[in-house]
Amino acid sequence: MSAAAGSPPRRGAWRALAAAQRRFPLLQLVLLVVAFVVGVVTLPGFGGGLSVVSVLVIAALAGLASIGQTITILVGGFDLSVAGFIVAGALLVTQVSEQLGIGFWGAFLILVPGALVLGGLVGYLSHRFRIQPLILTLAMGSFALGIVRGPSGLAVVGQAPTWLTGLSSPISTTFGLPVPPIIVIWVLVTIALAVFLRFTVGGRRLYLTGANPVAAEYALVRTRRVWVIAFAFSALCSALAGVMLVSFSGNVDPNLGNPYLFISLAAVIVGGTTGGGPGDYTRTVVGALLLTMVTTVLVGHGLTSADQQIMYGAVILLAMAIYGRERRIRDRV
Amino acid sequence: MPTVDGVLLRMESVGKAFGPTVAVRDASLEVHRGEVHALMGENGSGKSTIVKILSGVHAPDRGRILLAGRAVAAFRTPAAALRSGIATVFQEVLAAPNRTVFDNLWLGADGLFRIAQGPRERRRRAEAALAELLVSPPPLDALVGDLDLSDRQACAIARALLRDPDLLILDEATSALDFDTRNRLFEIVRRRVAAGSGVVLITHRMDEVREVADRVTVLRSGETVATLDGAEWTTAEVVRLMTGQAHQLGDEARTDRARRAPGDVVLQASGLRVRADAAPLDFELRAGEIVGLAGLEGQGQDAFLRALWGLGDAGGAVTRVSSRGRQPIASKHAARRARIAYVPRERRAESIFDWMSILENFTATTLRRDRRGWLLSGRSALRRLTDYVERLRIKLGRPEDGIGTLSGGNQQKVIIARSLAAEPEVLLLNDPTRGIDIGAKRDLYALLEGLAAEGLAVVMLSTELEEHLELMDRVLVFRDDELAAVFPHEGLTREALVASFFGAEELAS
Amino acid sequence: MSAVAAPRRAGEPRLRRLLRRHGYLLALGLTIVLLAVNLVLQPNFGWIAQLASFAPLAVAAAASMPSIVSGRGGIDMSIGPVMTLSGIVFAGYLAPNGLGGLEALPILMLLGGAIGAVNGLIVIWLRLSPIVVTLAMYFIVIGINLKLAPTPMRLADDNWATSLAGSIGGFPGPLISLAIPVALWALLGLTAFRRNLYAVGGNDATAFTAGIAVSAVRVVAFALGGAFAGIAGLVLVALVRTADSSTSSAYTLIAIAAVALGGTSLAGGAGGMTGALLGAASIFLVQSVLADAQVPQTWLPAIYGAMLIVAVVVGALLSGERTGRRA
Repeated sequence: MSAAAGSPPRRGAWRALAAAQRRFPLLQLVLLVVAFVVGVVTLPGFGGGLSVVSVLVIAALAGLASIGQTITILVGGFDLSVAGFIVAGALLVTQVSEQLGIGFWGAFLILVPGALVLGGLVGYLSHRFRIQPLILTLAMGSFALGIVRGPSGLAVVGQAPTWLTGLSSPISTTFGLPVPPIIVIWVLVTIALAVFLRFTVGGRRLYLTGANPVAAEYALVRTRRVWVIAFAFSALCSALAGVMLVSFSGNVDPNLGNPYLFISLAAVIVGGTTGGGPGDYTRTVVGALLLTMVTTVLVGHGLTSADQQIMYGAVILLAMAIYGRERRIRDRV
Repeated sequence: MPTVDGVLLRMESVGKAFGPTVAVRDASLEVHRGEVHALMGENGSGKSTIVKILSGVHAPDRGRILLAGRAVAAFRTPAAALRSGIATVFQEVLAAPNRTVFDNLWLGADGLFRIAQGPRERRRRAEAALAELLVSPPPLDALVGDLDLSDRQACAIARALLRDPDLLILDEATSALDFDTRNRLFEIVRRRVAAGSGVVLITHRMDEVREVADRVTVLRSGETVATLDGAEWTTAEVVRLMTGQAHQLGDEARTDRARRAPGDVVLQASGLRVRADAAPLDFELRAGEIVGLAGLEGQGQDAFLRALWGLGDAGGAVTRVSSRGRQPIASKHAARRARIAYVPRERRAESIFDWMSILENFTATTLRRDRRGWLLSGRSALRRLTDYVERLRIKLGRPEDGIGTLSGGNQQKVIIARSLAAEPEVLLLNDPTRGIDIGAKRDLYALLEGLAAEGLAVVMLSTELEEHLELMDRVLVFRDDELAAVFPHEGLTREALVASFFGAEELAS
Repeated sequence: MSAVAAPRRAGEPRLRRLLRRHGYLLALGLTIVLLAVNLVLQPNFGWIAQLASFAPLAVAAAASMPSIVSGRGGIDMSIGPVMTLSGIVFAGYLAPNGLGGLEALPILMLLGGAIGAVNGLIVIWLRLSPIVVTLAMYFIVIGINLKLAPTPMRLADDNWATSLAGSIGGFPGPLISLAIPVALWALLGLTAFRRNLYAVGGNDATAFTAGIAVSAVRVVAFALGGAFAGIAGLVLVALVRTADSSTSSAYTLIAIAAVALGGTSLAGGAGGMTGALLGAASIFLVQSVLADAQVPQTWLPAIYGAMLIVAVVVGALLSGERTGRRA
């Protein structure tokens, strides 16, 4: 303890930086700027308006697909049903709505309660029987995909309505602003979630549940309810992200969701949110921007999708090594 | 071959800190061959940490350990300590519940792949060890999880005995044992020391120390205070050495407490059972009263307190009586509506949100009070906390700092402030002074007395005798999950209380 | 929340007690029933062909099992990709270079074992949750697979391994595939390792204080799983005769489901090889029944998902863990 007082000032500066890093993803922001500058210098046209908007649209898709992951990780869980629900959501508003002739909004009316019920069931079962949410979310993602795909058969048909594709086309505008609506949606969602997590009773209960589920029960937080809501919300977010992805790509591919499973995990973890907190969605936004920026620059330099996979894996390990540690076995005796 | 005299283990000026908390400041210990050496000290005096250092769980920050005259730098793992001939039975019953008795007894006796002995030899020795310890030993193929607590603890002891250690450490290893097994264990212990090995005994039962210990080393706040020979020590002296003072509260407080008259009944329990097959008990709590729950560890007082908060599941009814009428308390949420607050026992596991701020920890149960419209008001929370910072004398930097920046005592004050913020009329405290410093304890006593004077009814489980003697208006003693005795404040003595813990009420009167 | 909290179980029903101790009984019953249904639906049940299609899943389940038994959520997500990697290395790199013979088996086991060991070492050194570490490894290995085999790699039809899916001198090849992990596991039962593994999985703090090298046990458990995955990859490529990097994730989920269905508690310290194989058999036979009943492929994810959910919930109910109330 006395050593701290006598230490050279440089260590003090390090400490201040480390403290700042704990509060805010400083390092990630610096890396984001570095990646952007490298891109502008080495890739022609990278700094142009349309190019930047395209990167933002891709980041917005990644960010929107990571909302549920952020919330479930904050309550101390995990959500591996992202891919399944994304495809389920995407298929519902295209193929299924076409086959049943119920139109986009008809499908939407099935999607919302359906995702909420299935996701909520995961939260309930996982909390009630203390089952790793990992297993249950994987299973539920598969189930959701299956019950949407099952009746409709192998051939994937169906197109997104044109107004939907306008949401995320880089050349579209929002009320005169030169950005596509998806970016505006992302900004609004980010603000709403920041306010919810920081300044509402519900948000605080979510943090309490993640920080110490036993203490939260003693503090009269109904933690099972929190888990049910968190996982239901997460499933809904993934399904809606699927709708957004349809708007981006125009059609559906059963493998559409796969990349987003690890993108969502990587975005949350790289942003610096750890299981049970601390963390918030703003960090995930920074994580999604950083990942998208770095990937785009590297793809510009010939990075393949195989390299991307490896990079995401390595990045998850690296970020976890910095942020998350379990207790030593000695301390549990 | 071991000589009967001579030093088996010498520990010199050992220190160990966990982050900012100093667990052991400067502890020395010398165990001779052929002796049972008792290690005594209050909660948080560093006993358990010393045991963990000697058994290789933790490495000391400084100091020396000599075993049979040779310096051991420090044991890096429990395996290393075991190889050096030190076997430990830990405070918590450490058994693998899904494994058989046989597997548990030989747990860790092998290498990663290498098997040390044949199974037949092992079964024979395991059976012999259990038969020595237990009147009716469980079958070797039973799952440990299916045994009762006493047998599980016996398995952990037998495991240590089977290693045939030079030094056997028993850290509160007798607490869960039934009477026969305990006597048999002491018989084995005597036989072992007669053969030249050493035993370190840690127990909260003074009579056990009296019964088997040859010498006693007393610890206080992580320092060795004295080592006494078996012939020369008295209970009073050891208690004085452990506490460093005779009383924790002034006489003035004591007389104040004695004079106050209790108010109306606020809480009733009728036919309440702590365990389904235990005798039911009735209980009434009055406004302004402080009732203590006492007994040896795990005798049902904990379950009783939790039952008062609506967490009982073994039968009986708890009813809150107030001007609002009679409200049944069947869940913790019902308890909260009836203005009953509960402070859990394990601070780290059950109370603290460790990465969150002091302020966030404080507001956890009363979030709605800070709601302005849809949003939480930080200013409102801060204003509420400020009240309690003064009343509880909480020493903190900024309320936004992490709860981890506070000392244990101040953390506990924040937790109690959290409960008080709900403005309870009945306060249930589960051993709230465990492991906190004496200054914080005093602040807490003063607070509770003040609140009781304002009409708050308090039920407090405590593992410290002093608290029952000084603070409580009434003390309920539990034994075997049943109410064993009730003592009024007047005339309550330490001897009476301790005697009743052991079922020796006749000594009390 | 250590052993102290273990409940008294005097009044527990006998059936549940039996199931808790022998978790594989449920899967055994299921296997028998499903096998009967299969035989009724499909009177000319081709045993060797069925066993050959069953073997990859069975060995994959065996590969997922050791790390799960080692406790603390030791689920190895990288089993599926490692299987595919093993197949790619065998079909695309070893066989064309004259190493396609029996010597390939130990090489592939070493490869898988090394990846598993890396998983285990990262888990213990960085003190990270096994799920996160193996998930990262899952992505990394999929990436490696995509690099090594951008297009599916074919195995020559005359390679000895193809007989693993047929017969070897009249003896069913798939039984040999299954025998390798079973024999290894049995061999380990003769050493102290398996006892150590269950002790660590049951309560690692107890195992640590009793002197067991907990970290080493964990690393070996992950390495063993990896080695089994190496075998599983070979068995799969023997069956389908191509190694396709796009199927990297096919077996992870279903292998874990098999282990869970076989009564191995995901909390660790219980279950084992018998359970894993019977769990795999149950899942395989369900697949087979569905195929007989001509349920379309697209339904399969829903059915697997539902089965897995039911399996883990039933498993949690039977394992006798105290459920529900956390405070």
